[in-house]
Amino acid sequence: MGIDRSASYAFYLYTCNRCATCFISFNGENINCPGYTYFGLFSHTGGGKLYLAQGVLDKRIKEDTAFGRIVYECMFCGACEAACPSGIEIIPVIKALREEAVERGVVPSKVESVLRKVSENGKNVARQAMLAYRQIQSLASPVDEAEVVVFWGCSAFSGERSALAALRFAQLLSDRRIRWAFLEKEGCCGALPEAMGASQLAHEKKEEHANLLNSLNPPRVVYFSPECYAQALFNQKIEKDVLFYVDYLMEIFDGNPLPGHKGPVSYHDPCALTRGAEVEEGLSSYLESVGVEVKHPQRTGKHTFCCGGGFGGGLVNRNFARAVTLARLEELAATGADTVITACPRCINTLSRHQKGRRFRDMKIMDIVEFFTGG
Amino acid sequence: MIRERIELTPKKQRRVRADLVSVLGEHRVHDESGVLVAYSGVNALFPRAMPHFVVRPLSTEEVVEIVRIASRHRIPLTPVSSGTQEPGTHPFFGGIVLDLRGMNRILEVDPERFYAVVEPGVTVGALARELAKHRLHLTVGSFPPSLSVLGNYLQVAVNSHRSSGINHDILALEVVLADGTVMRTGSKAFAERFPHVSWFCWTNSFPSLTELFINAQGTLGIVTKGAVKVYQVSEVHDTILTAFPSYRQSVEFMKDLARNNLVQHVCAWHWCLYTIIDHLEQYGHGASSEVVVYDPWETPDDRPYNIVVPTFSGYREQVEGVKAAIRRLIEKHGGRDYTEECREKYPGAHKFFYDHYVHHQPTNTFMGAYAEGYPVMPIVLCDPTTVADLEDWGLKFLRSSILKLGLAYYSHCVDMGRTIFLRMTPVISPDSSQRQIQRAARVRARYMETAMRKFGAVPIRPAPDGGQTLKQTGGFGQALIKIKKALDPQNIMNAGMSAGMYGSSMEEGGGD
Repeated sequence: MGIDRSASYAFYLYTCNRCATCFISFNGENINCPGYTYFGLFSHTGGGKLYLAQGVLDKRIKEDTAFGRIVYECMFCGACEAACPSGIEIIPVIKALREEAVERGVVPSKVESVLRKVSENGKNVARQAMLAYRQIQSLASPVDEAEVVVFWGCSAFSGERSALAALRFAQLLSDRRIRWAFLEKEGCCGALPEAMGASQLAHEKKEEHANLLNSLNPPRVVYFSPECYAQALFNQKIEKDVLFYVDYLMEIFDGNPLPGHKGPVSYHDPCALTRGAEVEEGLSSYLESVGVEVKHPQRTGKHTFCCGGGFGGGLVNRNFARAVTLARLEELAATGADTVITACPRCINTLSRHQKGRRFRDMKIMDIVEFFTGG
Repeated sequence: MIRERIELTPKKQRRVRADLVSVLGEHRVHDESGVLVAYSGVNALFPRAMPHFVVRPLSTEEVVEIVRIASRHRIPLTPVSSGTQEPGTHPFFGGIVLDLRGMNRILEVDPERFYAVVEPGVTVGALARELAKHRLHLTVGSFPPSLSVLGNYLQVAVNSHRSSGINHDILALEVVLADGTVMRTGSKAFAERFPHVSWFCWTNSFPSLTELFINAQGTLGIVTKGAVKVYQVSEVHDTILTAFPSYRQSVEFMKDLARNNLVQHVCAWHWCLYTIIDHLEQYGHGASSEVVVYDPWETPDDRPYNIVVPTFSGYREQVEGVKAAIRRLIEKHGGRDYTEECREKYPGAHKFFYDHYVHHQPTNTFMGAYAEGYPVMPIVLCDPTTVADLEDWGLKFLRSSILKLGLAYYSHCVDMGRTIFLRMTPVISPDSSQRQIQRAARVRARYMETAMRKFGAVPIRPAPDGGQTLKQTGGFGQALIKIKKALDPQNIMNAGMSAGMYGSSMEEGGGD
């Protein structure tokens, strides 16, 4: 639909007073916007996007490829919206700007190719993830006999680290004799096309996703990716019990995870979990609830900082993504803990990718399932 | 001299761009409309105007080079740090916007000399945090944390106020002038010849040029560094929140406190506003001023009409003495100690007052109120003998106008009660038509005119009204225009705002 004067956000486009809290956090010290961290421009902040949308409405800007690039030079992490003291809903504006880019045909080519892949229902299994993928397949039960369906999401097999974490989760379920189903044709939950501004495609995918799940016997669906979980939480057409895999883990362990390392550890809260799925207390609550000593990074929970793998930014500018990841690794290293826990396939791949060959290489970046099952 | 919005031919645009890129590199020079639009003005009553370039210098040397390029090509330069609604970014005549946020180094914190030296991109929050390590704090009520320290202090009463004889907290400045000269004011001027001379003193035996750049809105030069005053964290910091049934009583109380050296700062909050603040503080954001269904001069229940917040600090024994004296003055002026009742009934407002005025903690509470719409805030520095009459008239006048929403005020006692700052806070809805916006602007103009004509107040900052306000100052205005012409004969510095502030007499030779 693009930027629309009658949309509910339109009123608020004109109320931003540029207080800068959307990109410089509440204590005035940290830059909490990945876009501003790298580009240093107001146009690349949440507030700046409101002005960009005004420019579209008032026809003051050229909706050219440069416009297309700017609207995707954003991690879509929602830190701006979480911080805005006026409560302006910025994410719908960014979505609408991206829709505008899609409509005008000025989407960067890499975004276009990702969307094409989604629309063709291509399964994105990276070469390095193939072995784990096959093993996971072999551990699953037939769908008609399963108690739960595990929905892995497109990022679970996009890299080796996430695939290994997924394998650990699958092994744990099998070890505990839980009958779980693997969907050969999982499809897309709709999160990615929605974030990328392909609203029609997103709508179709959400519908397909709900229909697929509703057609299956198991009453519960466990999501391995917080992005898909957040999307499913708000997809009212899904008639199943929707769970995040960490909650399912806690349920399996019944408050007593397998013996492992008791800390101290640090953690990286995925934005899709704390802001997308509104689990504002984040990973520390899970870790602390089972007695793990936790060292908190500066930005956590609702105000967590992006890992650099957010929707859009990394596709159009690799240097941008790298700078954001390094900033986050820097912050995690400053906690002094040598182990960092996260719970998102996209985050674990992104953080691990950039620690190689740098001073962060001694840092152990683990998925929470790996941590709870002994590393 | 630049008199109107400039138009650049594609060829000239390319030449200017190439010159800028030669200084800053590709990645800090922008001419994409998607970037420019974010620097084309703010959500306020002023018209929007696109600049031709946005650049991000990181040092004084780079600013000097950019100024030289602008001067060579006769292109306006509009500096911006925070660029918030009040000072704003207004490239009315196009040209180059200098985004100074990247110059964000805290260059010195000197606890012995009692100052900090910062670049324009340093935020209130970052400096407050750094100062806390040295048991120092910024001036009373410096907020919100994400804004530029210098951007705020260079505009009187944007967000910082003190009452005890200090009108602003700038000790000295480094400024790049339109010809590329780098000038330092105060004692630091002598560092040109004697590098060890620090920023410690506001004067250097010559007329003070620091004040020339306060309220100048970047029309006379680009500030690249500033030494700001800092204050000690004392043994005790405290307040007694005081309730008064009328603004008149509040003003007399504030004057009595300030003139007897009992407080570092004192301000009064109208009941509508502290009710809104209470809501904002408790519920995060989204406080609608419509939660207050009111006649602004009549409270709906037993809440006090004003809460006055005095701030004092010192050694324990001294503070006890101050408290005893304040209690006596509360009684004398017909008020009551409202501290505990406020904590109970308005915990959000109570927290806000303590965060700002006792703990010197910059917060964003106030910013939440901006979702209401465009602030159309008539702000004046008022004569202490007539300010209560202005409040009475002002509320009634604004209540009968289009500006009903968010109608409230706060008021600071400045300069030991020689001046009273009074800021009404009405807003208009962002979905107002252009006609309604124009009407709102006329209402504000009428308020300001009456405040001056009838109540002897002066505006806190001029509207860009083609020099009309400056004209009212007679010889002062002529002198200021002479200074502007001498420093910036081509009108490079914030050219559009200059035309608005100094008016056509700048180009006609007025002031000669």
